[in-house]
Amino acid sequence: MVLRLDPDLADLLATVAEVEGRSVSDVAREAIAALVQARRKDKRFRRMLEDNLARHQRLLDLLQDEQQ
Amino acid sequence: MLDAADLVVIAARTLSVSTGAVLAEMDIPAAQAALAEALPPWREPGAALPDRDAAAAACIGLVHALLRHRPFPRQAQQVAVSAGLQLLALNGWQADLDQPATTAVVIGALASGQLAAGDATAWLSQRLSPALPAHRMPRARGVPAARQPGSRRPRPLPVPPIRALASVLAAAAVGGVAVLASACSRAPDMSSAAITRSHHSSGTSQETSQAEAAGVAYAACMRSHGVSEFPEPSPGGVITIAPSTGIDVGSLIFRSAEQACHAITRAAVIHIVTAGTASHSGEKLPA
Repeated sequence: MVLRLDPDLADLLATVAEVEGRSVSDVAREAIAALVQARRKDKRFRRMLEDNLARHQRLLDLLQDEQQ
Repeated sequence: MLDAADLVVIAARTLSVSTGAVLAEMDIPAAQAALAEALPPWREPGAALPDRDAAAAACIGLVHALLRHRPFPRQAQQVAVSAGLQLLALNGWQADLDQPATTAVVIGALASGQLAAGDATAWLSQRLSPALPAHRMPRARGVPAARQPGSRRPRPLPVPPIRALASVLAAAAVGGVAVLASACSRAPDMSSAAITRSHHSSGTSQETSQAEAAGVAYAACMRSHGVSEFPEPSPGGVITIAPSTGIDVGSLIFRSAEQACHAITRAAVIHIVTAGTASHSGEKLPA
């Protein structure tokens, strides 16, 4: 996996990891997972996604068929 | 505009797989490139889409970028369309695509380059309508009250560092693992370190040796694909590229090499590029 970060953010990441006594990998992994998890819990976001998938299911099926 | 975390959630639901599975499959650099390309330089992130033309342009811009960069190579069209529809919904618009077969042809033509993005935008613009009242307000994360189209995004409230970090990380990329570019704090001579690579372990000796092995393999791969100065990893498995190396991480050669060596980074390695040498030239990678 590739991440592109600026030096300030990289420093912040290292600082958090050092303060918490963890590896920077763990801290960053947790931060990313937490954000994805938070997004999954965003009810408005999910409702709109479900609505779209239901409304356009036929289109998505056609696109899937075309890619196979 | 959507971010990488949004793409993960959208792809997982669209493809009926877990977010973990999506993270494992997602081509992170491709997602970054697509999201960056989809946001025109004149458009502020989070800005409202006040009319059909603007909404259609934003949607097609995102779909086109996802089709071009293919962060989800095997299901590119499905995810791209689903993301485009979600972007519309979040901004108070819905697409009335009552002829799915025609729409599929349009998407296919856009993907193959037979249809220009401008033409697809004009086609879509005629098929947009305001969403239901409950969906009307554009999205503003972390802001309780939704904004009216055209309003400015409120200044965000201060957030704890870890939340800010999570947001920035997700804006940069998303994956099941993480990183460091902290040569800045641990190696004074690298105060503006540009690239650091690590592995996603918690630091056991076995994991460190695996990271080192992966780092050696990755470095060899990068060199074999034209980045002849790519350095070896440190004993801890971290690779740091300082500006003094002269390596242009935004060059076509570097990015092509990254793409070629991507399987190694997926397996074990994390690769961080900081602003010091990341020129982000915007070149399009060869297909």
